Amino acid sequence: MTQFVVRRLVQSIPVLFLITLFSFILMYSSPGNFINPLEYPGEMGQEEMEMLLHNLGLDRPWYVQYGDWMWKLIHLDLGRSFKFRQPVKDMIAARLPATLELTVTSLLLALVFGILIGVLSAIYRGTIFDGISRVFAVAGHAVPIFWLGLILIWIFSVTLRWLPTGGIKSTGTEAWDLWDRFKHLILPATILSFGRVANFSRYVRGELLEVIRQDYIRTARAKGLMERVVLMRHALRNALIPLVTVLGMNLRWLFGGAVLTETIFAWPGMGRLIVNGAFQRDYPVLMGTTLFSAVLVIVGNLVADIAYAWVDPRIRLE
Amino acid sequence: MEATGQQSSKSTSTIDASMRPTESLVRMTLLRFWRDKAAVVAMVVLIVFALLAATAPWLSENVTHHEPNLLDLSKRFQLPSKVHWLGTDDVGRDVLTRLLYGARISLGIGLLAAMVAISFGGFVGAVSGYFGGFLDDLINAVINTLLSVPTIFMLILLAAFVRPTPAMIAVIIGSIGWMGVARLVRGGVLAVKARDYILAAQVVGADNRRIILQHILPNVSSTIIVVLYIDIAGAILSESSLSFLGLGVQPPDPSWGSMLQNSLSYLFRAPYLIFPPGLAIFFTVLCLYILGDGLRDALDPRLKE
Repeated sequence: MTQFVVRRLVQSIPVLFLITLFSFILMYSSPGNFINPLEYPGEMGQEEMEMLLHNLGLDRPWYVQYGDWMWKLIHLDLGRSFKFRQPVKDMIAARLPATLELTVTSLLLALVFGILIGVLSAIYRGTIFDGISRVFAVAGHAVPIFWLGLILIWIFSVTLRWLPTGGIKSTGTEAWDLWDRFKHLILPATILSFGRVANFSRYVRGELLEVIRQDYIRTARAKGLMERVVLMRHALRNALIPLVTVLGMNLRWLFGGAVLTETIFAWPGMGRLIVNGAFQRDYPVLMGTTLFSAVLVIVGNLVADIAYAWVDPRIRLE
Repeated sequence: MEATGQQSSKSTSTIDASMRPTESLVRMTLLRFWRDKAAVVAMVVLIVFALLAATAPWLSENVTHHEPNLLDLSKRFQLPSKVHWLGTDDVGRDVLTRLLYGARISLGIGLLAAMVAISFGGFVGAVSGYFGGFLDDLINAVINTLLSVPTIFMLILLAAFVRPTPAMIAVIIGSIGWMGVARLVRGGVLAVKARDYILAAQVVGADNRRIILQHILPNVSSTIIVVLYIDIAGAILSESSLSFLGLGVQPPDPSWGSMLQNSLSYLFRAPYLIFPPGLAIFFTVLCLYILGDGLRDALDPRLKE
């Protein structure tokens, strides 16, 4: 297994390296720069601008800058933001908890409702419930989550005024107020989990129907177990095993969706960091957040694969 | 050589004529597709959308009588009326006209991006599956790693560096959406590669290029056709996400995503603005998925649930 882990990491490092190299080349061959004198008419002279570029180290050739950035990266340093002059590492660390709060809650919601809907539509296969859950699953993949967000804000925040329109907590509340945090979390977490619920429910349904056909289920029924026990203890347990890998594959969607969700709800997480970084052409922030999220997803996938082999002894990691 | 070729083709055609099933393969596929009512409806809806997009300039001149980017501050936030069927936005532009012009950009980007993704992904997948070995391992490593970076992060990263013209956005979306196609085509190539007729072609002395283009690609084309629709749908969603973040289609040009982004700021004042572009995206993507599913079932009935 150690060999498996090592090989997976060794495979992804050079590609991540290539991604950073490619981004760097693109960055420096693209028109425009972090400092666009046209944005500050009259405020900044040519000399002053050159001075600023020099201070940021942007007047060096791109390969020197890249080497510098890589050297820092090897020492686990993501550099400093051009705009805020803060270490990117600190900026990510400050925003990571909010993103994790959102994504983990969404994942739990997606699991609970995905499994529930999946099991019910497998049991009541071919009924109206199954039909509705099928339509819901297709719609769940087709609806843009930011649009769903707008609709829910309109209904629950603008019209009914039950929930706040955005943010992670009410402004002015210093103390940690659970109810307040919960109210802020409901809408973003619901939206982010929506597509995943659709995905998981179809998966669980298909897997459960597959498992029910197995011989050991017939054996369990034949020895006179109650149908509920057969389904819950024998069938569902085995049907849920492959969900572990599906979880891993979904991490990428979760982090991607978080960017949009955080934008709609003014959620102070990593997603906002990268969007603002793009607007301000704050390259270290952009590169740092992208790389960090990629590493997070790669590690998540790896953990999911290892967990899969652990819960299902039939699987061997090679 | 040519003479024998002709002769053999003639003789097979006479055998075919006597043994041919009552319906041809194409006809059977079309029939299967036709029986799938949901897919047929989806196709009709998409054709209507495409026609509306194609004729947007004519429609805006003769039917809606508005310009997509014409500001009229005296007519801000008007509710739907006889003059403005879907109302006006924050600077008095006609929503319906912008929706029609937005369709040109959103659908155009979707189509172009999917074509970029499919031609590149198809090429990479075919090469990787056909040649195998080290090249295959390398390509797999690249695909696996790219698939672990969230799409939207890569979109943002690339969009931040280039001037976001609609064509450029399509190329960006296509250039990071090829991995799925590559995997599918690779799988298809691996399945076909082991067949006897490929061996036969190799024995006759056909070169690799000819074998891939003439013998392998036609056999994975049904996979590609199905993926095309799913990819257009994905590209339309990507474009709308990027434009919604403000990094895609730039104002004043309308795209469905940028119209939604605009409506976010006026959610309290004009909530009706969120519906036209959102529903347009939703129904387009939904119909593309249904059509893709229907085509897959029609082309390869064995895949049906």
